[in-house]
Amino acid sequence: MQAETIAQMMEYLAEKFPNLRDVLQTDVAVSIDGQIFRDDWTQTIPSGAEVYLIPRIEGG
Amino acid sequence: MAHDNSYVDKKFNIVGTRFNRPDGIDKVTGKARYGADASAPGQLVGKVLRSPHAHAQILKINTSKAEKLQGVKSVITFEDLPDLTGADQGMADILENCMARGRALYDGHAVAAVAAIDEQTAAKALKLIEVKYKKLPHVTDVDEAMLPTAPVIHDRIFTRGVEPKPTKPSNISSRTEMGNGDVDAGFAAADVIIEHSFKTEQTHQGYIEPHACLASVNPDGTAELWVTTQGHFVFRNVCAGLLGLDIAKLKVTSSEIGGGFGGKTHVWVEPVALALSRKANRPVKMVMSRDEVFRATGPTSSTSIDVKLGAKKNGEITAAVAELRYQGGAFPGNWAMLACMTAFACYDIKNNKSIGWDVLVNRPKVAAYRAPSAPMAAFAVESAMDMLAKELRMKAIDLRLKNVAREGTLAPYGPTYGPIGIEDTLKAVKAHPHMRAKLKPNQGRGVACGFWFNIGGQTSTDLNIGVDGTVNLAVGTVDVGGSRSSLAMIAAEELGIDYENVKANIADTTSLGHNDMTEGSRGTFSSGMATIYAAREAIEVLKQRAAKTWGIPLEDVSWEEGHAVATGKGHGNLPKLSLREIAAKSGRTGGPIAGHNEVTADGAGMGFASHICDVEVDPETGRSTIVRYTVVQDAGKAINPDYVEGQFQGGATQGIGWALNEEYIYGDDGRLQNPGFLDYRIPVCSDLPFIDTQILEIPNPNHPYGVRGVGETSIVPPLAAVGNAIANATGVRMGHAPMSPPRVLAALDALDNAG
Repeated sequence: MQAETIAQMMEYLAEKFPNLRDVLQTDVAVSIDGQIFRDDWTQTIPSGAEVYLIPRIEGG
Repeated sequence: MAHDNSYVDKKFNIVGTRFNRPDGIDKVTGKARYGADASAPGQLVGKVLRSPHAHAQILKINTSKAEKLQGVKSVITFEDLPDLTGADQGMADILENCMARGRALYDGHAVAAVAAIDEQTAAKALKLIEVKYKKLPHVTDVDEAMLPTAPVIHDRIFTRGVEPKPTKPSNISSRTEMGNGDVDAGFAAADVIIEHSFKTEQTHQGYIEPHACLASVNPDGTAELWVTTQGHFVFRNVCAGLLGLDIAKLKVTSSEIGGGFGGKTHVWVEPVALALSRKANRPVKMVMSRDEVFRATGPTSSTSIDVKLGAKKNGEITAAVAELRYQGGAFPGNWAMLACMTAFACYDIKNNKSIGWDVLVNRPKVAAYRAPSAPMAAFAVESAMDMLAKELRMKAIDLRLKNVAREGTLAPYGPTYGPIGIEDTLKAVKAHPHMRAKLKPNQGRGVACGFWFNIGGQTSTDLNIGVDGTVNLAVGTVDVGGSRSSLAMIAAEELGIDYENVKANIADTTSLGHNDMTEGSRGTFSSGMATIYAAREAIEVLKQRAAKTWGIPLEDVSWEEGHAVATGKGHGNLPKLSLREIAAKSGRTGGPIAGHNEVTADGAGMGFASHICDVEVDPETGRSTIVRYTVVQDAGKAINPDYVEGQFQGGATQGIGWALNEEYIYGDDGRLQNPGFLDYRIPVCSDLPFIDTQILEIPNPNHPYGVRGVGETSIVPPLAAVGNAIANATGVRMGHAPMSPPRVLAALDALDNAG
């Protein structure tokens, strides 16, 4: 998969797995090389980065 | 101007020192205005009628008698809150939780509401509302709710995360599994295996200030809401959505907050007050009673957890498994999933697996409570760690150090850790003088560690410089712990002026862009970041004004210690211009001087803490008294150490209450038996010694000052720290929290009888 930003990756995933579209929109955060991004989908994904989709935690 | 969030090591003049919080005097003199301290001409009193049943069909609601009562101006049911949520089930759940829609789902669930000219009339009107209920079978225990024989609360719930997908609905909304490696191989390689089951009861955030608001809706669709909340912008969006209002037309102002801790991140009476006001065309004030707060807001999950650990003789943990069952109240939640993420997060265990079950019961819809889901998982895992250490004849602290997570460790939920502070906190605990203090008879010492993610989120900040050089800082994150002091300190630091010249205020929703909730330990972290950037923007403007005043290029102006300085050739004779001097002339140099910033503050650093607890257990009563308690936690950078220490102590105190006394007690009838502070016993000052604190500062690489959120982490270790201390004092391993006197006494008696 080719994606330069989180937004591109999400779009790709939503097209490949349409039933995940809603979950990807609201419930997911992205870890790029250990740093967690919850909001900004314009964030670039460096080449070769370790990327994880994790639950979008809030807190109390 | 683009801003870089990378940490820069620098010497501070103001940050790191201690100032009194600006809201302090008002709060101790009674001048501060909380949620119940607003009034408007013509205001009405709103009151809610609540279900006395844990689960019941609502066959009919007759409000006609109440409507006819003199002094009653509006009566509402769910029909006055039409469902505008569309496909958003989460919002639909919030709507239904605020007002029952045909079915009461828990004792205390709102069924109708009235607005009347005074308290007595409103109370009388509630009694005149006739509700016909048909009682349904109920379930309140998390394990019982999972049985195939349990009454199903929503027939739309089919367990997610299970293959094949179930054909019958149940109370299990989802199953989560995460982990790394091969746990079977790990256990096979172990010399010692520990297995134990744990239970924790439901607790409430216990804020002293109940939910309260003043709502005023006009026929033209404009509205105002004064409310105690952790996030007025989110409340605005949610209330606007539920009531069909435009976001910009609903002005929400946050009052001072008398505690939230996660319990004021959701709406309960607010949409009801708005709907009452809309119908009556008058302002409506609603203040929850303590009974209502316990029965009908958002307590934590109660849980049931199994842990299995395997280790080699040298203490290396070869496998770890946790199965965690969490109830989320009468609506689906993600609490068990969250627990899976935190359970083994402090450790580097190659083979680990966490399985979470999210379960529904006829109890109020669970809300977050400071590091939600983590304290219960830590109670189980950290207790099991001590049991393992005992089997291995290792010191509890050394077992933890042997298996501690570091930079480069794979987290149980996937990603690799950057720089983290857990090892430093454990080493600091090991070296702390508390560990060598002598214990008296019936006393025992326990240690435990804990972790929370911390978040960043959307933030908007405004910094405006007055013509006398004093500064207004408008922020959108509600101040729950002294952040107005810290933020003013940050602004003063950046601008190079005195702390006393900066006034931080929480702006209303019409004055700033969206700000996320103050939760996830994000207040100082994210508003602090935005304040730094806003100050730097203002400095650019100040430099421009100086350049214009001097008639020199902008590149030849630098900002040093609160002054514009002309640098470069030929400018040496130009005297420095102070911020005050530039501000005084601002009207003639281009107008008001300000800096502004919106940022999604990503890169929040994880918070780790290790605690030491000394407890004395009375063998005759089973009563545990905390005799000494120490918190060691990594704050990244403590802007104002007073308020960082306050967060450590507050979190620890709440964890201790959770560990020793606090629990929701439901009767067989599914009704809450103890909805008041007399029978739901939270710690008060006389219960506890002064809690010692040690702030570590391992800078967060993704914040200019290295700040990590601190508010939540210290509620995570206490349950196990106390449990481990009791085990060391008595020889009894308590697996059921709270470890209240009756439970401890029963365990001591059982030990005596066995021996």
